[in-house]
Amino acid sequence: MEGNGTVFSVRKLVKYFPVKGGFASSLYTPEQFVHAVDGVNFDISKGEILGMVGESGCGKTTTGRLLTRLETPTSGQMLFHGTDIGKLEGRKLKDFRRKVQMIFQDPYESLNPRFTVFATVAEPLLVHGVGESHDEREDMVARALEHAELRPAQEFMYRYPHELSGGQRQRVAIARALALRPEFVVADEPVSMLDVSIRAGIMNLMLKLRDEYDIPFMFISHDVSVTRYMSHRIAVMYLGNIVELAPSEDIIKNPMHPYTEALLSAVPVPDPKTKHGRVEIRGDLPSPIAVPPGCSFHPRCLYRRDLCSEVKPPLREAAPGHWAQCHFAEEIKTRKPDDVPLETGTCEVCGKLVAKGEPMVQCNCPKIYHPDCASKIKGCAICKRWF
Amino acid sequence: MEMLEVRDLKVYFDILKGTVKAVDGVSFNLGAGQTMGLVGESGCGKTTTAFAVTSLLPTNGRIVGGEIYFDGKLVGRGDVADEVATVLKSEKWFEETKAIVARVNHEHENHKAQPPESSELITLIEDEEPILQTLNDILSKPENQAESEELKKKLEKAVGKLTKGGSGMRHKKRRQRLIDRQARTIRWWQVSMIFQSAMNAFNPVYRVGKQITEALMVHKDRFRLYHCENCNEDVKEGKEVNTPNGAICARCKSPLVHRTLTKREARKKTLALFDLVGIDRSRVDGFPHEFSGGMRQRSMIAMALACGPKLLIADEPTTALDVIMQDRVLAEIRDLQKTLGIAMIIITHDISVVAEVSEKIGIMYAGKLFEWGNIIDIFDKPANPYTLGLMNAFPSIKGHKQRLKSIPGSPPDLKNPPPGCSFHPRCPFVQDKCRAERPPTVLVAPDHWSYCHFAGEVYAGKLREAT
Repeated sequence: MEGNGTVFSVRKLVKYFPVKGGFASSLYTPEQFVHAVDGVNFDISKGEILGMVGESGCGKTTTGRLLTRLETPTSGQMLFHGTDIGKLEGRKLKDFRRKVQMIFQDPYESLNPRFTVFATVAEPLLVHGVGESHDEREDMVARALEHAELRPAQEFMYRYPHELSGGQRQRVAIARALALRPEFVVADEPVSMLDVSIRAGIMNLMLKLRDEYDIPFMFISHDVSVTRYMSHRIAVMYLGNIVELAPSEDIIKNPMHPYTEALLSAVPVPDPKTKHGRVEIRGDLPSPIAVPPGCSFHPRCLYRRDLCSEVKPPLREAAPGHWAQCHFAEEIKTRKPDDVPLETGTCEVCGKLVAKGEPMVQCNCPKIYHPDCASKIKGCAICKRWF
Repeated sequence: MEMLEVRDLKVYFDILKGTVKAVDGVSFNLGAGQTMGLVGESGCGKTTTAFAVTSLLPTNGRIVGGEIYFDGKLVGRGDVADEVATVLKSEKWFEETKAIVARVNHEHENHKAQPPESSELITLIEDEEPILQTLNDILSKPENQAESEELKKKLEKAVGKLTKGGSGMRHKKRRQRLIDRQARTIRWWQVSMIFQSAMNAFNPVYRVGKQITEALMVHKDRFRLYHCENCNEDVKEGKEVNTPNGAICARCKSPLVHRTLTKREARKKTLALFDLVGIDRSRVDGFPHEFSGGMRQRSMIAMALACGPKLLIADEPTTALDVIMQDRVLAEIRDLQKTLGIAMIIITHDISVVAEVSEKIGIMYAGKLFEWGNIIDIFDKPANPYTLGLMNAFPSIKGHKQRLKSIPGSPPDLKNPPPGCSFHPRCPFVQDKCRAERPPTVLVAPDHWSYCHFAGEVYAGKLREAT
């Protein structure tokens, strides 16, 4: 993955959060951890926008916060221009933070209501001791605001956040992030709180700034279509792992991981003529405290085989530039959803065990039946859907 | 006949700094079993429209004009005298007053020719008669045929008498009560609502099942349930035999007495609802915090479906959910539509969600319906610059990657909206006419309306540059 002009190179990055229980439970249960980020590898090169998508709780925000060192990693390497930033402290950490900035999700909460726009944007300059005098800082703030298309800057400089619209606030947040001329920016869901008509403007602004400054961006979003628009490459995260990483058009057109396929099939399309079918996924997101063994996606995967529950697949280059964490990534186009699920269970009608490999009928809910028992009842006994 | 008819609805909110015109002239109708999407930016009046239909408006909000009919019942309406009083403050008071009086006259004639079923509506019409009489008298006089200050004063005086003072207020309140009583007969029974953010719509200290049971028990008198006095036992739901003379007992053939829903039956219904929306029955006694976002949203749907409504209003049903959960909830909604044949209004800011589930779409901006009609035609050939702008601002995962265009500026302040077309400050095709005059609502194609001076040209794809 490594190439010339790599800004960030992340290897086996891990972040666990301890689960806080009461005193009593700490006596008889071992300490538990939320596996927020569980061994993530990727590179970000100069001028690139890397999109991160996934369901909530999959660890995309934690990854972003680790890269800006708002969190300290449990283990793993994060090389920023060759230096490992995971263990930086004190003076060096402050220097690093000057080079890396973050744009937060909610512009209504990320701006201090008692700070003027000038105070907000000048704050990072003050913290890092940039600019000799007030006048010089005022110039820098004005320039940052103009870059964020808040023109004329003088008019906005001494306003308070409540006098600004949502889009203008997010522009202030962008100006604040760019005031220090950072070398890397993490944007955590920067447009999800904004109205549709304003959203496109903010996205175009970020793209323009990337072109102007050549700063690499990490764009975190749960919205695949927005991420596609913004990024060069997309990383799909699931339960703390990157399950697929590829150029954005590539990933949209030929997903190589079953989770990506399911995620894409769930995205609604603004075209009333295409109504898509059901998502090819079952069950809910497992708890990140007890991550399933083997491939973490296997309990929900429709294509799973015996190998999937035993061996955790590595993130490998399944096609040139297209990385996927699946044992059978190359076969995805030819695969059919497996009729025989891996686990066995009890039939809902007769209560007897359905043995592995034995024919069975499965409902989406998911309950299983013997074919004979299923023919007796007309629909699923639990969810009442027709077979 | 259309099931829901909203005619020229106006809802204003009184706040300290003036009046917010949240909904300002919205008309649409919806047939039984149809699904309509209401799309717009935040603050454009989508939710207010829904609240007006269910008459759940907050205390400072009032319907100042227009009316809402559900199944021929008047369930929301502005007070005629109030409406005239509001109109008199505007610039074009003469035409608008005349229009209101003409409309109400027409309505009353209709009702006289074909007496409505509900006694409330009849009383309401009788109550309005003297107001209308006064206004008609003033407007029909030969010296009052043209616009004049004197006429305005006369009207103001007459209307003031009808709305202010002891007797005026008393009558006004009485009229409002009549409408409220009508609205209560349909709320949750025939029209129910899925509220925005299901996360907070449930009471955290009650079990979810209990809350749904409660919704059923409020309407316990209204289920078709019977008791047989002869056999001295309750007849189970649906086990009675219906005859033209009323229901009779299947066993002893004696006439049945109406009874209320028992708690046990309500509980049973709740369990069936959980099955319907695909949540395991065992979760019925869970608390809201034990449910995931998707499950809470589904239990909200279960609660809305409890009384078997004819119309379901879903306010941002999927906004707080992940893509996969969103897709499941949408699939659920589609399934229910198919099996139960419920009409739906889906309120959202996401055009693609609407494209997924509805057959009609209404695009709202600044309290007005800018475009309305068949979804396929509107997506194919939008006839309104605002719709065009919205479509260009939406990224998609299908097709080629296109550069998005944002709509410049931000939505107007609804306290004092811009004159003329309220979109004109942001419209790329703005002409002088747009700045001065309110556009008409034009029918550009069958089942496709647009609120624009140049709707026809936009529809045909001939757009002129802004002047």
